Amino acid sequence: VTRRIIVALTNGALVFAFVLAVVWFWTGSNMEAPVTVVALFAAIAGVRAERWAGAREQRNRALEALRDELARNGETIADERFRPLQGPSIRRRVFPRLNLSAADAAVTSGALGRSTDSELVTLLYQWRDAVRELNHRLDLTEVYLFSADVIQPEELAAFDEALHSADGILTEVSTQLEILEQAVEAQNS
Amino acid sequence: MANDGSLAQVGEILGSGRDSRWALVLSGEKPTDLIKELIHDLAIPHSRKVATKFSYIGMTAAIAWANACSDWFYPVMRDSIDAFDRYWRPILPMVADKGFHYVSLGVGTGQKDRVVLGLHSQNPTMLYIPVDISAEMIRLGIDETKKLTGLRMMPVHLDFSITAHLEDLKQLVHRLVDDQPVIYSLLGNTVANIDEDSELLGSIGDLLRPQDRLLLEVSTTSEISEAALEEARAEYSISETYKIHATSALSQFTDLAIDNKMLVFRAEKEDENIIRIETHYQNATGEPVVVTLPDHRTQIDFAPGETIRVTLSRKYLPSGVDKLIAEAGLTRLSEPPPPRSGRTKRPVFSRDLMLLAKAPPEPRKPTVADDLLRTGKTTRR
Repeated sequence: VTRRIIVALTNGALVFAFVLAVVWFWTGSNMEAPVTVVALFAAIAGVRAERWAGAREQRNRALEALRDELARNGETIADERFRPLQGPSIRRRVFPRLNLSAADAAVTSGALGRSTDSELVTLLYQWRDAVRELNHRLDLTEVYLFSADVIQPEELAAFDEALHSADGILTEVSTQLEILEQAVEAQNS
Repeated sequence: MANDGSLAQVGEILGSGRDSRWALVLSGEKPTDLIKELIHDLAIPHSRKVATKFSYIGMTAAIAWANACSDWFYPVMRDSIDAFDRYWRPILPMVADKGFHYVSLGVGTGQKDRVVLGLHSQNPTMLYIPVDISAEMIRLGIDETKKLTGLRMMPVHLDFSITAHLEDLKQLVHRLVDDQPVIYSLLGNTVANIDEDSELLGSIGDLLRPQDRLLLEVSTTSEISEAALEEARAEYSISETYKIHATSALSQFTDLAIDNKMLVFRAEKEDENIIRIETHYQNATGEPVVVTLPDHRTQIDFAPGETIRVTLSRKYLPSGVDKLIAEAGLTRLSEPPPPRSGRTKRPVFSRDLMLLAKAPPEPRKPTVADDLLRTGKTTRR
């Protein structure tokens, strides 16, 4: 509401200054002071409105990028490379990784600087920590599995089971993703 | 035909303690199965044996056992019965006022059960289930016990050394007592009489729910040495009544002319924790003897010098007791007996009465997979 009032006042002041300047031009009466006051008022309000508009655009872009990235990460978690294997198909494999570029940018750019964004920013910090931990654990798992000459199917199955267990890191990240997606969706532009 | 009313009346008569003639025994034992096992064990040349349980079947065997228990020269059982109250006292506070029912596996002479049944005064609804392979031993064991006014008793005639029988017993007991707690007992070193002692104890441990307890008594030795082996052998060999008990199954189930002088007592180290004591009946006649088995058809040639194992017992080191109960998945609730003072250089034989419970399952050791991919905390959506 405040933003709309300021935009209206800026535009109003500019129009008013223009009218005063036209009157001053045609009548030759001394209108310098009122024209200057009104023009300066419009300039100051305009700068503020411009900043607001810029910040809003940056926030929207950050949220949009975040939505896209979270959606892609959701698809990655559902990727078949994460699905537990059974029987003859059981084998060593490289797991996909989750991305954090948009989340990192959203936090470091200050695009989420509104006072109402603090809860979202906290969730983003937790999300980044969880994804980094997942990616790190997946790195170690792959190093372990691919370093061994032979891996028994039972051991591979144990890794699948641990990954998808209730206290598994993938389950934790999935939960965090759900919470964060809901928080992002709830944001107003 | 009996209906609920007359059955209730029978229960009332039996529970009143006034009429001592009658006893109602629930029989789950097929005599043919026992005879088959006996014939099988006796028919294998050079490893012939009669399982110890057969020394309790039949009235003559039951009486022989009762006589052995009161023999001054067979202190193993007599001392165990006399001192039972003393061993029971520290355990009593752990089970008092908890509303336990009591299932006695191997009634014996019933004297020890009557000590445990002191709990009946605190729990008037207590159900007492004496279980034994021998109907005669049950009758002998509960004769005094059934005089206890108001005690609900359900004797069960069953060979509890067979795992499948224990499963059936478990179902029966659980139907009778629902979720109420039960003390099972295996007293008098009975577990040591079975070839697979730890397996039997494990099967009995499987009867236990978290609220149930097992009262176990075993014979112990302070050491395993030549002196201990000799003393263990002598402990059994000096008693004439024990010899009669030892040969009672052979005497009852075969046509062998028993001469107790042919008994051979052996004590040996079974492993680093156990003294194994066996009584063998040896053909010392110098002639082959033809023995007819209880199916009246099968005959075996009992060669000169050959033996038939007629009893088996064991004495455990304290570490052997710990191993036995750990292997059975049980955990000890009562304090172990204090170590004997080192004043005597002779081996000390004693007994250990302990209260056991089902051990909680051991936590699974984390694998590499767990370390790498589990966070250890369950996330809630």
